[in-house]
Amino acid sequence: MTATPRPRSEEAERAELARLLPAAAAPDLSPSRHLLLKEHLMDTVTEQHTPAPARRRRSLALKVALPALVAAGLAAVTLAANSGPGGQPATAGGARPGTISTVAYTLESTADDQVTLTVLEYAKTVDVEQLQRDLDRLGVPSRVYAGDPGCRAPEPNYPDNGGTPLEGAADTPANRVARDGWDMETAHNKTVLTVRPKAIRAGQQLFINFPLARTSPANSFRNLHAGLMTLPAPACMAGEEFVNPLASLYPTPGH
Amino acid sequence: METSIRARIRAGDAAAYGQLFEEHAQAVHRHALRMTGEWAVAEDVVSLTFLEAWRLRAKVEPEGESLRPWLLGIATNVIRNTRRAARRHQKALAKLPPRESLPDIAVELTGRIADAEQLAAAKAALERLRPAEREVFALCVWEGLDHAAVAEALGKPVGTVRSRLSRARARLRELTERELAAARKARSAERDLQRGRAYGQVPGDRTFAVRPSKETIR
Repeated sequence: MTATPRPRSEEAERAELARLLPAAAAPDLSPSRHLLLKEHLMDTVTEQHTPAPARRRRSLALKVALPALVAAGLAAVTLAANSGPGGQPATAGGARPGTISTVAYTLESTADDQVTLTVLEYAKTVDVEQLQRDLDRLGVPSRVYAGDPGCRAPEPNYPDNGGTPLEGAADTPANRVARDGWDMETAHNKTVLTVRPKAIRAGQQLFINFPLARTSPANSFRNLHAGLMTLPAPACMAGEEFVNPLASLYPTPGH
Repeated sequence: METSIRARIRAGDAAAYGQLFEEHAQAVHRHALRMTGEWAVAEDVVSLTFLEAWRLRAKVEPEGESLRPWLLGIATNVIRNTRRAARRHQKALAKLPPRESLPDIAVELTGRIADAEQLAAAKAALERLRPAEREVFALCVWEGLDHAAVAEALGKPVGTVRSRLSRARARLRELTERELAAARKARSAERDLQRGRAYGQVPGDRTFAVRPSKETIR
């Protein structure tokens, strides 16, 4: 080795790196498998494409799972609650726009009639009752559940609010909130649940379920589900066991 | 040609999507297989990657060359977070054709066992790297993407890709050196042992003297 390494070409670098690790054989997908997967995808795509874009969106959004992040790094979810300039009728203490912060999440009501819940950390325990009180205070018709693995109540109905496609409008969180009254988006390790309480119809409620709240309290905010449901609300929602999906791939998260 | 396929994908042209699958499904599968080391997971990653690609089609840049870096970038995210992607496409996955049971032809079976061993070895080796370095390594070295394409796939600046690669190189070199040193030590210990026991010319001695001493990097 020379004392001062000269700048090397990408090619040379790649060749050296390739020598440092054994070659990875990666056999192809068999032709029959390839065809099967392709057919299935094409079916899905054409099906999604033609009839009801709105329904598709709903199914995507209904159960948005917070990423079970490998590095249990921080992530922020903001739930912004709206109480407009006129405001919702104040309950005790008044539902003025404000910010409620706990270690794990921030609940915020913004001036434009929206409430935002931002989860700051997934690997935290959740105080379901506290969150429920906070949401109530911000005027969000909602029900918060700690997932119960033994839950036998039937799943509620998930309304499909008319299914109007976003005519001409871009499929952005803001437009979806305008149409549906809520949206949940995860981007860059940050999950934001946005609700417009006024847009939630009578007989419907926002639900937030923490399926791991009882089985793995330390991971409560992972796999959070949220959406709209038609009343009556079920007494409980299903819980899950926490499985790190990539435990075998990334055995030691910290670095 | 690629510009037009980009435009068609953006417009939601299913035929163009089919073409995209034809051209890149194998590459996505290969990458997934190397990163996860598991057949079943790799197939799911292929499905999820293309479902995600369809969902995100509006985000395709109108100009550019091959869409492979974009797809491999999606695949990388899917591998990082398979569960989340699976939830997003729950309905579609539920309709996925059942997985292949064990291959029935003996020849194929033995072929797969050999492949599986090699894959396991590569994956074990890859695990010496940090996750961020693994991704860059697999994309650059095994998939043959250049730095700019890797940067595009991962949505990171080229400088980041370069520094991750050089960190990966330094780390692998260090590990290799350490292993070589350990092997050398073990060998000389063995030699001392032999010398201690034997006097004069011993049959086994000569091979050591003659054996080339040059170390090769695996």
